[in-house]
Amino acid sequence: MDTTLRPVKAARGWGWALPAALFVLPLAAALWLGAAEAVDARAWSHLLSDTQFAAALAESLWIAVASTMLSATLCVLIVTRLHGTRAWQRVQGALGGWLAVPHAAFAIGLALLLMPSGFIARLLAGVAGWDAPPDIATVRDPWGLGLIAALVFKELPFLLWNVAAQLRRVGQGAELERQLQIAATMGYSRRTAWARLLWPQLLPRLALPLLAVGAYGFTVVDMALVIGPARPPTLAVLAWQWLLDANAATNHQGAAAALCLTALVAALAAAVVLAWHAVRPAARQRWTRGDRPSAARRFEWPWAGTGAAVYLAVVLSLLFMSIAGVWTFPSLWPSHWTLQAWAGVAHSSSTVGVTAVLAIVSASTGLVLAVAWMETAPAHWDARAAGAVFAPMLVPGVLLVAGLYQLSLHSGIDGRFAGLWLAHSLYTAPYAMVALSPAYRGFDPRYQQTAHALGRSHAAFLLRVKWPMLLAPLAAAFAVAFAVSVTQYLPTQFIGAGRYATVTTEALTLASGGQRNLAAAFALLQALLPAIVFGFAWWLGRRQARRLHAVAMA
Amino acid sequence: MLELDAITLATPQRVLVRNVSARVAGGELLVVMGESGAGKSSLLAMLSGTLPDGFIATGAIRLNGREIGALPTAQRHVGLLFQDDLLFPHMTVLDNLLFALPAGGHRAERCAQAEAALARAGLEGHGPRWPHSLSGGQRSRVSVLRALLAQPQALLLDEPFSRLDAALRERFRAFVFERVREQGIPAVLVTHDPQDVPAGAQVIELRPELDDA
Amino acid sequence: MPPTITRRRLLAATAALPIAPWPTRALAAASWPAIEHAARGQTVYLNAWAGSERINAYLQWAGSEAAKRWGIKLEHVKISDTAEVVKRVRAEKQAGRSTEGSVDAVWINGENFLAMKREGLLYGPFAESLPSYANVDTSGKPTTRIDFSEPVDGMEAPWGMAQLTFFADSQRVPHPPRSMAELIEFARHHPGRVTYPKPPNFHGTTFLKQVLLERSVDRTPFYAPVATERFARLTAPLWSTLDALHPVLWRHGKQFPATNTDMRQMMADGELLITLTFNPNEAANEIAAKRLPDTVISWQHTAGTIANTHFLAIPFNARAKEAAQVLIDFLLSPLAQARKADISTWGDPTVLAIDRLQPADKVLFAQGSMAGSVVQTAPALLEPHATWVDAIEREWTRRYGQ
Repeated sequence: MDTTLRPVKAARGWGWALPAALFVLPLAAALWLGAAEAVDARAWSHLLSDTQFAAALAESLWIAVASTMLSATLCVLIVTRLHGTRAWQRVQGALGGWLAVPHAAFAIGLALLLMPSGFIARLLAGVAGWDAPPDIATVRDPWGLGLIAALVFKELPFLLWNVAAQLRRVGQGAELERQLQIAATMGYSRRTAWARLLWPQLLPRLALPLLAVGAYGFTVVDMALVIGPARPPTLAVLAWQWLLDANAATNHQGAAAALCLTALVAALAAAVVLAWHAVRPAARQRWTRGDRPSAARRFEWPWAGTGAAVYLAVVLSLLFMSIAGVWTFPSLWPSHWTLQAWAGVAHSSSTVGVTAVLAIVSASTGLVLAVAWMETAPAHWDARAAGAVFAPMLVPGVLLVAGLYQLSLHSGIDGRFAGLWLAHSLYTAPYAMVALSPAYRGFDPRYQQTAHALGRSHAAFLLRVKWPMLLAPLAAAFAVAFAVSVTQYLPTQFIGAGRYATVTTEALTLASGGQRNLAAAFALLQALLPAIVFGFAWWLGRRQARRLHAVAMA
Repeated sequence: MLELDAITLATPQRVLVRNVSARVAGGELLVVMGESGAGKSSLLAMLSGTLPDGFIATGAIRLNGREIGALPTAQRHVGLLFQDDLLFPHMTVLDNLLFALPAGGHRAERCAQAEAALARAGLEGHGPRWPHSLSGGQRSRVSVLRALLAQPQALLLDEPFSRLDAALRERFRAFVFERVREQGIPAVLVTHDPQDVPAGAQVIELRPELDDA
Repeated sequence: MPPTITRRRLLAATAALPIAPWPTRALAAASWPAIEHAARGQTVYLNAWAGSERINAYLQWAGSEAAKRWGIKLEHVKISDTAEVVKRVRAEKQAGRSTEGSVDAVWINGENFLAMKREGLLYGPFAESLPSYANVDTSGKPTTRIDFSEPVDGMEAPWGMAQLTFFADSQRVPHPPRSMAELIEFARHHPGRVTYPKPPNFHGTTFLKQVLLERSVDRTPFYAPVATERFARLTAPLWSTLDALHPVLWRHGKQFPATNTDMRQMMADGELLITLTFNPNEAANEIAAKRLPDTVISWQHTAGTIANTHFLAIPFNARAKEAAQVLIDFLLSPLAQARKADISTWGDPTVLAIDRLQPADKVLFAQGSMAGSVVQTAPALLEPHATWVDAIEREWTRRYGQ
């Protein structure tokens, strides 16, 4: 009689292997090819001896750390202050809109506001008595403050959205609410309870988004081109320039710089983790000290309101700029208005078409991959897969794109739509995954058990129960993936062989052409496309919520 | 002494509690009974100051002579125990207790106080352990200790025994009532199980009101 | 706020690289009508700098004409720096892609041309066999056959002329400086209102070359390949001038605009007083488009400014070689050149010898000077040898780049 006990293994097919392979194989190949260019001792010696390297490195470090810390701090302040109030609901609702504003468009608009011949300077000109734009570097300044500001405004909605997603997780929100109540009964003010009780639990769960934010600050190229420091440029911009250079040795130097960026991101992450562990014992003592600081109302700056105001100002300035003609300093209004820019946009309807089709196709692919993974792989594998999923967000774009180019060159799809589709899908899939997994994984498993018990096939369950119920999160994830595809710059430039112009590449190329009104018009267009899709997703969500709610109320 | 004076609690749809008054002395217990949905938890929420928006509440609540109805939760000094132990999962048992203890004195002194409380509850040496490594009964006990270490002036219990099986329930019930008597604070217990009512306790029954035609 | 134009570098270690064998793919014995026939239905991917709407619009016109006449489809691939194309074709060659290249024609000159020619990345020689080449003014415009001191040898076809030109609003600058010395004086009187684009942007590099040529007594060394051992001595006048100039520049010479179009925008705003360009008719074109006030004037330094020709070339692995040749031939035709030179369309000067044309074609070029054109054309200074570009850019970056 066999009495050995064997653990029960749930029957599991190999279905998860397909989406995993479709995603991981091209990704790994691209990383390998991209890094291979950097395996060249000469490239590294060139890199290290380059006169701009050290300064660019220090600058990139400063910008990444400052922007990450600032956006994390603001996120903490806003959530602590607004959670539980009606304003928090409004903020959550507005997040979709904030996230949809593409970063390049935002950077262009912010630059228009801040530059020495921009709005703010003109407003001040009357007071300060300037008749020519002041000789102060407000954008492309050597401290990178313009870029830091633009990064913070881009990252803050992303962090808020992640926090909101954590709080909405099944069971999570209610539990934290209870903990707040308990802390309140012990005499802790809301603010103290958040600081000592909730954030210590939430922040570790935000580790990956924070890392993504830091990595982005380090490796961003398109925002840095518009509003970042010029002398020296950030290391990511240098790497990009070197990778594009005609000289082969310089290309290798660029690959080495990209690899250096990756190593730095990893090192920074490790440093933060170490610091966190080093600080924890002392922090725990602080949390359990037992003192109850008074909840006296001191003035707190309305960060959320300020953020919203700045976003609005940027969008308005883009609108304004797109119809402005000759506009000499220091007049507040242009002397000519012109619709020339929008006429130019109307001429580029093919660009819009290409952008939309590419975005729809790659967003769908990303969504399908994400859903396929989550359907076939158990939930606890997500943590293990997180490394691969987050890789496109964490690896410097320049490295991945250089590798993708080599990959597409060797497989003959460079300069073809297929190459772009591959490149964009590698970016949309992780974002679709991140956007969808809280809702998808949180789907009550009892529905599936019930459906199967009723004798329905799995396919019927998916098509008629699960996906219709999850329509709102699916639409939202699609909108996020769509926006991600629209805002891609490096892949489209590099792999499309310049043949496929998207709205983003147009906007950035025109920003270099100095025709501000045209650049502003394209930036607005770049923001409009995802906004439409987000709006549709939001509407779908509302309709769904009303329906489900109506059923529940009956 | 906890005084409830003409408490009325209602939602826009119906009245949950109508004109309830009671006085609970230190060490005594008030039991609020009723079926699910009758408004027991809402009454507790009103006492602890955690009522969500949309309720209409009138009446006065006085604790040791102080009017607390208008105060925010953090200033009421009223402890709260839920069905779930709700120990903070990212802190050890000791840290959970230290969090509740008021400030004052060295860390060593406060640790000693917490350890002493653990010992009296039969959980000696469990300080460094993590909540998830304790059994259900142990966690519930730590939860009570934590609520009491915060030195509340009254204690509210929201069906704290309903998750426990019968045997554990008896022991835990006795433990809780003993602690309450020891601290000498008034306690309000909400439950739907008549077996939870100790001898000699005040009882209020909440019946769902039918709509007057 | 522009993608900085990357450094167009010459292959530094030319000694280490094998000089590619002379391109052997000469024009096959195909006659021109056969080429035109083969071109029908092909698509030409023309990679051209796209920083300006007028260029893009002109190419759109050219495309529609090509479609009408020869059934050729022109796709303008917009790039921000020609070095990208060099890199792309090189990568394709290394990957063994010798027939289905992604680039059919490229707008090119200078060190990029040198790189592609030396590495065997170009198709040709083809230019001198084009029917329209007969009208090119090779004697009056020597730069159509010598590109940055490198013989063209028919590997690229001349397309337009360029000369370093300055322009400013005459209301703010009533007496424009006509030499580098005067410009420095001007900058001293108006600190913070003069600057140049950051090298390796080609306008910035050209400014440096202009300074060097104007401040050097003997210019002959610059027309030979760069001599590293004498480099410091030969370029000393350049660095001493810049050292004197930078403190009175915009942002005290600590920051530089990325491109000349940035500078033009700043001039329109009033942040800068003087800006520069390669197209002598750019100011006129901007005035005609109502983007600049009509008080703007253009000028060149009296003793001469650097001038060159820009070209169109065909990569060795182009897919549509025949269509590319037909298209380039059309772009060299009097009709296309006249439209290009028209200030209201683009204003890029022609490479053709106008006086040698038929009367019917000559009249296409008749256009009086418009507001903003250069009043007195200055002599053309030839571009130094392409190898000097890289060396100067590198030294500039080392001295002033951070």
